[in-house]
Amino acid sequence: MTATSDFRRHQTVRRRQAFSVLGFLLVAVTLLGLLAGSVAVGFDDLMHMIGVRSGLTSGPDRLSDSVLWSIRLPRVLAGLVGGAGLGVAGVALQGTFRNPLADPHLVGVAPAAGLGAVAGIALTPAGGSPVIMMLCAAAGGVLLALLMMRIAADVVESGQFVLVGIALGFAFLAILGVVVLAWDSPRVPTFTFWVFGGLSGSTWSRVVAATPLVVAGAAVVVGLGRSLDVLALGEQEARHLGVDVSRVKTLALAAVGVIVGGAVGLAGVVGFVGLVIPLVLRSWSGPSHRTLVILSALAGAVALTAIDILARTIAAPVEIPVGLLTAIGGAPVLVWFLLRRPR
Amino acid sequence: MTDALVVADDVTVGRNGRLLLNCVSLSVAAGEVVGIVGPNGAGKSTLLRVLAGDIAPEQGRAILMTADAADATLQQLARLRAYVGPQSVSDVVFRVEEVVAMGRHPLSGSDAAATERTVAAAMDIVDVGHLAGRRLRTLSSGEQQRVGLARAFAQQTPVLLLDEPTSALDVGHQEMVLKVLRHLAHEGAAVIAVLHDLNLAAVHADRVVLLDGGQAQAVGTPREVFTADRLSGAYREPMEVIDHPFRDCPLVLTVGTD
Repeated sequence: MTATSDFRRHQTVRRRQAFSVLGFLLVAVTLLGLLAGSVAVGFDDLMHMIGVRSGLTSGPDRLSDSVLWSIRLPRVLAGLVGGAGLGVAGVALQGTFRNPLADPHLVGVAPAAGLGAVAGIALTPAGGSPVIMMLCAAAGGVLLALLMMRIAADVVESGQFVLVGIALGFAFLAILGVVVLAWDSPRVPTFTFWVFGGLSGSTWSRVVAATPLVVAGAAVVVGLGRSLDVLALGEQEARHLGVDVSRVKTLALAAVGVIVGGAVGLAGVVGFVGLVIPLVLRSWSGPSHRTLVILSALAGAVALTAIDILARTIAAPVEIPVGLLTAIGGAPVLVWFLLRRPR
Repeated sequence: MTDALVVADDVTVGRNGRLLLNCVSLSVAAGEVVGIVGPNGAGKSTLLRVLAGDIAPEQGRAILMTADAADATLQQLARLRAYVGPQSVSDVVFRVEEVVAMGRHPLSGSDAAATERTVAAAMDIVDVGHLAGRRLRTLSSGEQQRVGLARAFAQQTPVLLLDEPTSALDVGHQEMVLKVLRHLAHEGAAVIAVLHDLNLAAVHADRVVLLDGGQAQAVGTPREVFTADRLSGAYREPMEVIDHPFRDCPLVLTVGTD
């Protein structure tokens, strides 16, 4: 057995394992997310709702039908889409900046998207338009991501880059908090939603408005996967291999802004998902961006949905903001990664 | 030269009011190995980067095949020339085989089986096949340099531009790499390498360019260019040139001034 075939076989096995485990977990958290909650809903109720909604069966309306259709399904979908978006955005940011600590929350893209979302709400008439809110969130995310690209061009050390990002992130988060508290309007989701995240206000209209943004952005990142791989060698080397580095980075960061806009519009500003998921998966399945993007989408969807289930059940009837739980779960993983990382 | 693959025509490059290259001309044909030598700051790497299309000259032009290097797209350039510069791969998390396969990036869409064979052959000729599954950042600098060369060979371009391709290699691997370059030249490539080791250039280059102060002091065979006076003047160090006792080429010796 040659070193080449050994390595390939090992990598293929690892990837298959990751896809299998994440696929299973995705189905599991989706079902659990639909069935768990203060109103008791069984698998039979779920089948009944699906049958009635698809027109395959008929029968009397059950309370569980509206609970599942109007509350839990949009909430689970928001978790899946938002989490997938954060995972993909993390991969794209880390690949673009060649920095494993780049994260949508940490470098300020998510708070900027939140500020954009609030501006979008302010621009729309009473009642609001989720589409405009999401587009404005995406615009905020894109602007900040491109600003970080400009800053990265002047920064030599990766640590310096992350610190600049953290400073911007704190600033945008603080401005967002001030605006939300000062405005104090029932049209605007709560301070807690923006600063710590949450899926309790999930609606079909938000899910429908955000999903195309996340899917389109993720498709762009997948398309750039091979170029991001080559970029890992360094910008000069990538140019020598025919990669238009400026174009790739601009497209990738625009995609990150759009994805994060959708994710923040769904789940508020949630940290650690976009940071920790790609770090862990890169160690497990290798750094190839195409694979990493898809796996991170799956893992991000699983993680945010699972954390949301915890958030609404462990202290019921009190609901804990998901951002607090992602921090409690994500911080130890990050510390472990930083301590084990070869210097 | 009508069958030249690479032409530098009266190339001048300046920066901050200082001339890095001053009217340098060079023509390299298919089958040739050309060494660029000279002291630090002579303009060797700048010339290579002009030929690679990284730097547009203020005056003159660099031609690769039929394309003006300053006007060609990155994709066109990547199909015409491979470039190996100083290594900076300390954080690269990809494995050796994946890095070498990136040399095929400009040819994406090519037959997968052929690509696999090319990548395996490129790793084998510079003795990194046994490192295929290792992460690049875990290798020694010499091994990383050989991986960089394998990546360039996998690119299968008609022109190879190499900036100090043997700087981190032991003597055995230096000889091996230069024999590979000779082999690629025999197969029709034009090879241009910046070399600090004058004796490696004397043994392996068909022609050498001696640069000093941004100017080409001499262009010709090693025997024509490597004279004691010329080298002593360029390197500001007394040198002697004798016949190599075992090979048909000059041998450069530093004399020392104790």
